[in-house]
Amino acid sequence: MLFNLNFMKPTNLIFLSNVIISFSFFSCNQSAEKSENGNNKDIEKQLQEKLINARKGDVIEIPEGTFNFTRSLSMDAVPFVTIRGASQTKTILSFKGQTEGAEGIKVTNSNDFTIENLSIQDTKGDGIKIQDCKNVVVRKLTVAWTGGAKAENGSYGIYPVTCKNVLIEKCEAIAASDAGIYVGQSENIIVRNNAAHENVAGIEIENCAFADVYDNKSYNNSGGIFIFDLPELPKKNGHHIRVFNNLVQNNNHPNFAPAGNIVALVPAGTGTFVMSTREVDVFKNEISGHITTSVAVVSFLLTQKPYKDSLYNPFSSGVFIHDNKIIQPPAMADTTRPLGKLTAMLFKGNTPQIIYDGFLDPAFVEKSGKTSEAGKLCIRNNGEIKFANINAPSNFKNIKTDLKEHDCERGELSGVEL
Amino acid sequence: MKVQKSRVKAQGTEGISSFNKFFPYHFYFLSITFFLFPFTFSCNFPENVNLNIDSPSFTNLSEYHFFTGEIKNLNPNVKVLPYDLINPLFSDYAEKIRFVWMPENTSALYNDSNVFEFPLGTVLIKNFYFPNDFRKISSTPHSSGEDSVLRSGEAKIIETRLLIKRKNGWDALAYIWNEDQTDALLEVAGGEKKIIFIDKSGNKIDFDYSIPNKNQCKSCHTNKGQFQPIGPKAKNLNKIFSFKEGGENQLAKWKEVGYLKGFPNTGNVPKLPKWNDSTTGTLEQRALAYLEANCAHCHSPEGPAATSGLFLSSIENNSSHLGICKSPVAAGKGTGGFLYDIVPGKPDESILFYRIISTDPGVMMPELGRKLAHQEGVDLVRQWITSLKGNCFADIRNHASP
Repeated sequence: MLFNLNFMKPTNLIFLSNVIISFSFFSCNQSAEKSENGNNKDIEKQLQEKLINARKGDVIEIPEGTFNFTRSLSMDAVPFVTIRGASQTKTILSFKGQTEGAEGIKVTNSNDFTIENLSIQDTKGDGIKIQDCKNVVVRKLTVAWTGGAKAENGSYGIYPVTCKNVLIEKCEAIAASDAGIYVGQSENIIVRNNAAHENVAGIEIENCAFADVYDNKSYNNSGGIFIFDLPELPKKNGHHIRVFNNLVQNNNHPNFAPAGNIVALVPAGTGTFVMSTREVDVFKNEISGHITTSVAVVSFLLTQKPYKDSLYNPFSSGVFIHDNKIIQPPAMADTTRPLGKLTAMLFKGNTPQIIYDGFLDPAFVEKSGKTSEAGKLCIRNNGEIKFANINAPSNFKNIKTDLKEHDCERGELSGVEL
Repeated sequence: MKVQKSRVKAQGTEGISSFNKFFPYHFYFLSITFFLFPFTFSCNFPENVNLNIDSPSFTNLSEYHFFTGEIKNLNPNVKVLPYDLINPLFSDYAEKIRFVWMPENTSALYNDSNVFEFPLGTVLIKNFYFPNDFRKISSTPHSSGEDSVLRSGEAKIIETRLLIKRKNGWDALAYIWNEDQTDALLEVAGGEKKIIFIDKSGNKIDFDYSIPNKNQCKSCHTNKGQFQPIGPKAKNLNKIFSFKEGGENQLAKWKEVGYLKGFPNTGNVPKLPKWNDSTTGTLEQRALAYLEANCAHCHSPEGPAATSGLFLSSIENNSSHLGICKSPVAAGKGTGGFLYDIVPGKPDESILFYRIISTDPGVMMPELGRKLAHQEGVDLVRQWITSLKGNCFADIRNHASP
């Protein structure tokens, strides 16, 4: 029941009996009130011990109740482990009193890892960090900072990094001071059916290749869905990202990210933000109610941040935005961020729904001066929208608003299969 | 009863250790077997280090027989060799006494840049203790592993960490000492201990010292996904150590006792400057050596913080990877509102500096293993950042397309 047969070896019986004892102990503590009483330290220790002693194939079940932790929980190098709670509302791991560790749960070098049906609350740093793992499933996990949006909240809610084959589904991320759901430097990713709200970025895919982001609801964040690529990281030059069938709504929450973080640069009221990534399809989304802009396609160069990375490509090329339902009533952009100030200055209260900064990868400029098909920004069939190429390389002179130059299409990107 | 037993052992030990000075080990065993057999019974011959890498770890530290006599004095058993590092990791001002032990007829393989390749069965033993009053200890408190401050009872050993090289890799174990200092118990889940000491300036320091759990050990000791020791590299061991027999270079000693193969024994062995000794290197060299000891186990291209792109090693020559004018990644509130890891000349606007002085678990660096800021180390990093010239102004024209 708790462990597979592989684990039922005589040598493990002593440990197993401990687990069963701890399990019955857990079940006596089903209400939050009870678990506050004295024995909480034991529960923390028991769960950490289970993770330390975990073996291939273990299912570590956490019963109903609110359990308080002072240290990060961690697991390293054990394959095929599942951590499972009773449900997102019934099993709550609270890190409100955390005194040690930069995340709530950290899982490293553990392939075929699954975590599901529980909540992680109020961690001092990230909610859950999953690093260097293959075949990761995060399902029905809530990560929240219960005091609401605050700069002192942890940066990421759900945070897989340098992983391969990642599925994040039916999760909820609330009030992260950077991104609620963040996938970094990874490959083969599906993020679907999640809800992200009151974060700075609802969902962020950074320095990744091959990602499908669909059927998510991202609302009341500062920005809805971000596709980023940054220099000077081991994994870079992100590409092949599809963002579709998402509801991206009213992401106008004041940006509360601490300065220095890349998301701190993004003005509140940004629906979808694509930066320095190749082959990005944004289609069939509903993007509505944003005060700054609905879709922005930019280069890292626009941030004016220095970098020394000759292998980094700062351009967004081959981006295709089509068949989206975009609703953006006239509004004043968020002027607390330089990019919002710029937008407000250029367009007053009448910002285009799609903004492109005009940085073009010289590799896609043909001898004739034309942009080759593969490098083009294509925009088609998004209803009655306005567009602007703000021509940042020419210091915002000669802003182009004609969509004709971008009326093109390219073959659809293939979907991600896990 | 236990105490009595160890006293008996202590008497036996002294005889043996003086005997050792004159005879190599194999000769010693031979002579015991053939000539001194009856004598060994009468003088309570001490047991050798007791380790079988195929057996589970002992519950009590004493069961390994790393130490003879009263265990709290950390008097090393035969072939348990004390060593020291030029630049240790800061651990809340804990003093550390280290030993290495290898099975008979095995040795580590020398290389000049990475941690040595250790043989199966190697044990690295690291004891963490706090003197009651730092003003009363000399600057080099442990010269032979058998420490007078421990003997005097003016200090408490908190934990002993073992790294044991087993067939499937290094095993990390933390033993927590009891109040009576008569033994230490294995604790995979780590723990916390209230520590009170008087620091060098006479201030009373009172805090909860944290003993890592097994997985926390891994979070620092992982390199290329494999568990690795951190300290025992040639460049960090290359120093004179006061052994009982007298001062000697540690690497030469390791070779002499048979613990090191392939050691060139020439002047070309790398050596780190000592972070707090200005005669050993420039400010920059010492600051980087300090950062290497305290950060590079994670912040290296093969370490767990590779994802940050910040590589704090003394041999890193890309200024961005060293953090100079580098934007942070995934730092969250760890930025402190600052834009770059290091701003030349401006430690108080540098994220790196902000994070090494912090004790907030969501901000501080290293993420684990300290509850206090290391004032002296922080001062060195401050001086180094202050000495750097330049600014972080971006010239986007270099990158812009036509």
